[in-house]
Amino acid sequence: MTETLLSMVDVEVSIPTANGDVVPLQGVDLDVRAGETVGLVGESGSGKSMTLRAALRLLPERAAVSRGDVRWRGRSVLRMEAADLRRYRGAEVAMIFQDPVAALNPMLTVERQIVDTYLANREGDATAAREAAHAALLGLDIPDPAGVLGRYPHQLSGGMAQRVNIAMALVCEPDLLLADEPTTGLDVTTQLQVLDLLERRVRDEHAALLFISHDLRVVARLCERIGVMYAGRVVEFGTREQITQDPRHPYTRALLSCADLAPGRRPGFIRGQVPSLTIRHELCPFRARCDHVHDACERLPPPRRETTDGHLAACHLEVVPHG
Amino acid sequence: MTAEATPRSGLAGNRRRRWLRPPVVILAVLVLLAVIGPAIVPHDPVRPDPMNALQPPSWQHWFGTDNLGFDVFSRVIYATRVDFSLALIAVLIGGGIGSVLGALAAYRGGWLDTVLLRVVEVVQSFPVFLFGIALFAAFGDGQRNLVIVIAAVNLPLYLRQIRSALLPLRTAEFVQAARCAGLGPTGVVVRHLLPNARGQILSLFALTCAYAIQIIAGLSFIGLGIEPPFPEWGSMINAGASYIIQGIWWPSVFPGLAIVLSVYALSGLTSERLSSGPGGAV
Amino acid sequence: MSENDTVPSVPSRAPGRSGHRVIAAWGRFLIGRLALLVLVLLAVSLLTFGVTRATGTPLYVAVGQQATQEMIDARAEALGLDLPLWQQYSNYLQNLLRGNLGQSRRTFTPVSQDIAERLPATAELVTFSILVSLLWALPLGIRAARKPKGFAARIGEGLAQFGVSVPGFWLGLLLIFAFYYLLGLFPAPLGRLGNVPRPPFVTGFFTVDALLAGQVSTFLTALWYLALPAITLSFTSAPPIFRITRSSVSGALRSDFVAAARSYGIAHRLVMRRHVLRNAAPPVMNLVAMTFGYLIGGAVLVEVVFSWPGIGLYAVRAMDFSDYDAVLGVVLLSAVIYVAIYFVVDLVQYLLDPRLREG
Repeated sequence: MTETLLSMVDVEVSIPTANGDVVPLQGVDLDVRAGETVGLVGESGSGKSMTLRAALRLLPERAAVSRGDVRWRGRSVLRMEAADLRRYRGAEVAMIFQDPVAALNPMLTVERQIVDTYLANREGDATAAREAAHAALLGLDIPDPAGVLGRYPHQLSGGMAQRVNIAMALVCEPDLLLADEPTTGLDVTTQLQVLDLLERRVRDEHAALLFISHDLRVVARLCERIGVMYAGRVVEFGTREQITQDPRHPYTRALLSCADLAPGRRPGFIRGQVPSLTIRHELCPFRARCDHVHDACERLPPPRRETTDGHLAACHLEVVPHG
Repeated sequence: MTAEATPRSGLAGNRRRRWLRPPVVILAVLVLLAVIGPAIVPHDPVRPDPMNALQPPSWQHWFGTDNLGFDVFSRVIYATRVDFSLALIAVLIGGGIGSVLGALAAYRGGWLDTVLLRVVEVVQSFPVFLFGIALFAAFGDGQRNLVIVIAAVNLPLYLRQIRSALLPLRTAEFVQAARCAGLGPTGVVVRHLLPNARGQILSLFALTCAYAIQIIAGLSFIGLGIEPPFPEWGSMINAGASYIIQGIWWPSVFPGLAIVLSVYALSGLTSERLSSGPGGAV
Repeated sequence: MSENDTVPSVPSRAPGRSGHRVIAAWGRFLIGRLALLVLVLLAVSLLTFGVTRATGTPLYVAVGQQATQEMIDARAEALGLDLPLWQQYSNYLQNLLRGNLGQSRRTFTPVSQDIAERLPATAELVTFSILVSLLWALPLGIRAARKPKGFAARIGEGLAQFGVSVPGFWLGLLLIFAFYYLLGLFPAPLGRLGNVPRPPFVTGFFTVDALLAGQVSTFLTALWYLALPAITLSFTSAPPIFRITRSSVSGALRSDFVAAARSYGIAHRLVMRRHVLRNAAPPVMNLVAMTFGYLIGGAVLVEVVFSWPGIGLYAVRAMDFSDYDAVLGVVLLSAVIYVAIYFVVDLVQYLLDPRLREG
């Protein structure tokens, strides 16, 4: 049994505002094991990015984890001291952000930023850092590493910048890579290139990957296990095959039909709107839009049903009927 | 058994409380004084009484008397009208012209826009008081020049504000949509753009009036603008300046407090601040 | 620039852009900015020239009551007033460029000399007042950005509001009243050194000159006299600096690249230095430089209150004497200094921010 690296248990994140609390995460459960690729799928506002932030304890101002725990190799991340947290970030878990150019300091060269990251996370001096930076760029199929190293972020194209970011993350030699919709801002051909690179490098480094996206097709292609998020919680979790071929939650079903992945169905759409995150939902947050809703849904919170092979779904229904 | 959190709002309560905030109340009092003040002052503000000079505050003279025997309290009240009305007129003139220019710049665009912006940028940052001094050197003293200085200072501010409010006229999609629906450019301005900018324009108005009062006071302090014996806060402070060093504080302190109160009342009306440039205020 | 480098070598330092292209970009920028500077100064000189012509009394004043038309004409010719306007302006400009600002009617010395004598006083006052402002505006601004509801934020905003609402000249008087009259902690507003003899001239800054000459007590006295006026003036200059620092640092703190740096476990201090402050600094430095330029002309009122012998006080005294040449001389000099600083600031920003070099 491979070791569980990251484990998030019933994580709730709340942000106090002048008009009451906003609760972007309402009870997230997920885990990532060594060397595996896990995907997290959901609409905007479902809490995907916030989940990654919580994993690194990089929440926005005034946001805090109000319930649950985040554990790395069994130790609680939320209770780490500052020094441990710094070591955890980068050397153990590294993140790639959505807007590649914005994630780089506009005043510093690429080389400077990669070198800083190296020095913060690995043993070695500046020369070793520069060599590593050069090698990292080479490893991402960048034809002119020396030239790119000397450039400033605004001089890079989106695809190139994202490769730089991936290089920077990999230079830390993390055990887990978090990717926050890394290809969403890029054009389609560049997307495929970057995804391929990411997949290959993660495999080469034997690192785990937690990849989030709103695009189920990308996630299904890349990830061995997939989690589906809705309104701040994970409503279904399972292997790629389980999710795409035997979805146990109506929302997953709906997503599949929208992405045209459901076997033999016409592409569909989901009526209604994403529920507000200023309310803590005790009952199922999807019940207003669900095609299969019934009275149990209005009375009791949905149970987390788990099958023996690790397929989890938070729904009252045992089997989702086709229809 | 849903846990629904009720959002805290209460628009009705908020609205009522907004109109009773200290700055609003103070401003109302000041405007009242500006209007009826001269009629209700206890002592004649322009009749000197040398026998009574430099008396400290007392029941007879709430703010004391100055070096010529004037009752400071009456003069402070009287000056309210002077400062406020001058400020208002000057701001309206400068703001009016500036707004028209800004609208032109926004609508026409091109080189006119660039030129105006550049000119405004440099003019705006030039020290106000030196500009005032030069103007007075050229054209003599008096209220008219005071108004010119303040209008000149306000022009760039309103130009930029109106220009940024009307800029969408050229490019924004919702404008094009409105045009497709048959609305002419004036209609777009009146129905869409101005309402959006209304809050900012009102804020600007309040703040520039406050700034104008400070400029009037400052210029009068160095002897330009309103001349004694006509009551004005700045010139009153000047008259009392040589005495405060000897411990006679009331001729200078009270007019200053009036200025601070006016500025506080006017700028308290808004949540925006007017100090983006190097000069800040005076 | 993107040659395919098939042999993976390890460079000691990554090469930048090709040399000549960089210089060409700089050149274009410099020329553009210089052109603007020249244009502005021309405009100001035109204005002041207009003023000298508008204040047309000199002729009659010079000639006196018994003037006949001939005497007036002769005088006009002597003064060059019969020449066409553009030629008068050209002469005027030439005079300016030679540093001839006319003669003061009050002191009977050349205006340029008067100004040169007094400029260091204003410069010293402005320098120290900016130092005082930075002393509290910077740290409070940074703190306020990190903790928007904290103590520092509240004090900073309070002081800023105070500085903007309270007239500088009145505040100066209050400070004199409190700290000189009531508490006796600071000297009377009698200028820069009171009765103490000046230190030997090097820079014109009494503080610096005293230190250079080893006269510690003179140095302290100069500081003592500088204190109140500098503090008064700092209330004018500090609020915008505080607010810009706060908003600039706040923006940098919220940026993606700071989040990214923290996510890589980079130490907090390094994050602040390399990422936050380096990105937040340019607008602040910009403002500080502009404030300096502005205050050279804008310290007038404070100089009057404290009888500080700078160019502002000189201009006001000239006003009272209808000494137009002197007033215009001060206005012109302030404009030149302000625009020059504006130009230097632009240049420095261009050098420091890699994004601007793209043209």
